[in-house]
Amino acid sequence: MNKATALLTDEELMQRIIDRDRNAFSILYDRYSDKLMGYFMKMLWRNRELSEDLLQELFMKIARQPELFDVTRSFKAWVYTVATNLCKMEYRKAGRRGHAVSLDNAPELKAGDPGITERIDKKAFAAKLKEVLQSIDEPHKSTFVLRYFDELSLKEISEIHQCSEGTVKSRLFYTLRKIAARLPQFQHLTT
Amino acid sequence: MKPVNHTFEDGFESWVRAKQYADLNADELNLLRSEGIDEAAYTEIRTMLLALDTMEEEPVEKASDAIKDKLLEAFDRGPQKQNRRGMIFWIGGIGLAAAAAILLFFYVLPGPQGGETEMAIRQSAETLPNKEAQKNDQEKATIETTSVEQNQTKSPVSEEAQEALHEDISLNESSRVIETCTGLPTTSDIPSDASVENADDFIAGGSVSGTSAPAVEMPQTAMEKMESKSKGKEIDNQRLTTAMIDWLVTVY
Repeated sequence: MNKATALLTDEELMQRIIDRDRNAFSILYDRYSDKLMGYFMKMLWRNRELSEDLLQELFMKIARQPELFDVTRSFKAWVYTVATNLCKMEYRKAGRRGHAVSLDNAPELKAGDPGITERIDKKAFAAKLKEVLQSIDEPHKSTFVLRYFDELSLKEISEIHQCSEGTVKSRLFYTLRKIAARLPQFQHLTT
Repeated sequence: MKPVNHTFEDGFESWVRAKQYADLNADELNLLRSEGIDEAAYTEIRTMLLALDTMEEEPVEKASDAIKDKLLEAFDRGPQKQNRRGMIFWIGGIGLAAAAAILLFFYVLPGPQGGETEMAIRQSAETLPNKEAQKNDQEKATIETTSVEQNQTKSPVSEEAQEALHEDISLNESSRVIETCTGLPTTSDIPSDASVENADDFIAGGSVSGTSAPAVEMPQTAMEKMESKSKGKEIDNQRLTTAMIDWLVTVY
């Protein structure tokens, strides 16, 4: 892999992809595929098959019609916007089908591990958090995941959801309160 | 696995983590109030944020390698080409439909209003001169009759002259009847001394003032003309439509 290409920004890579640079496409895929896969997994009921389908669909768009991206914009915000829209479509389909949300089971833990109590709590918290997230509506969940899992800025999230930063803050406050109210058993983790 | 440690600098998270409710400044309190967050809610949110920080980082979700291979293959095939054949088909189809609609509108299906209007215009154009001529003839005949009557009353006339006059009047009346039927504006100018024995002779083609009158043939009325024309046109349209369909079938 060309080192110089690997150091390019996302937007510069996209410009090269528009010029049909295969290597640039490969680098951009490696840069974002895991993050987007994680985002799809959290948003789409931990459904791996569906998440992979959407990931493929998203990058297929980039491969076939890279000119759809405006190189003056932020690629990260754009790619998450497309991903969020794909999720919305799946939510609509799920709504029509009366999709039963499949929630994650709590991870299995083995007795005798060092710091087992703390790890059980943290793993259980992570599992329970994902479970609670599934019951939250799409805009709030997406805002929460983008902020605390994918670590996007308020500005980027506001671009993705086409709303003000104030709205993003409000959604985050709302979701945090909602989750906290449903997970009172994990309050001691912070003490 | 290391715990997540969010270091957002653009949001509220940093000061929420760092401060108890009692330590908040006026701006921060205003923001919380605008969101309807009281001390209890603030404590819940703060606890949740700290829990998120201590939560173990999730294992990376890796997509199948086969996906990348497929995508690179797709990339190598080049950008998505528009289906030109499909576009040609659709454009051709639209053109065909438009042509058929035009044909139907203008030729095959004469609109009730349009057809009537066209017919009325043609009819009036054909009958207008005849009507004007008829009017003129009637006026002339009236004047002549009046003058004859005046002559009858004003001066004594011989029996021969009276007979001649009678013939003249009957001739004029007959000719007027013919004009009304045929719309021909020619007989009102017939002189009173015309050597025609009666109106039947005139109709049969008798000579007037020594000149041979043209054989009077009953012309078609405007309506009949229109009907014959429209029949001919319908046949033409049917032929045209058939030819068009044959051509389209050959093309497609």
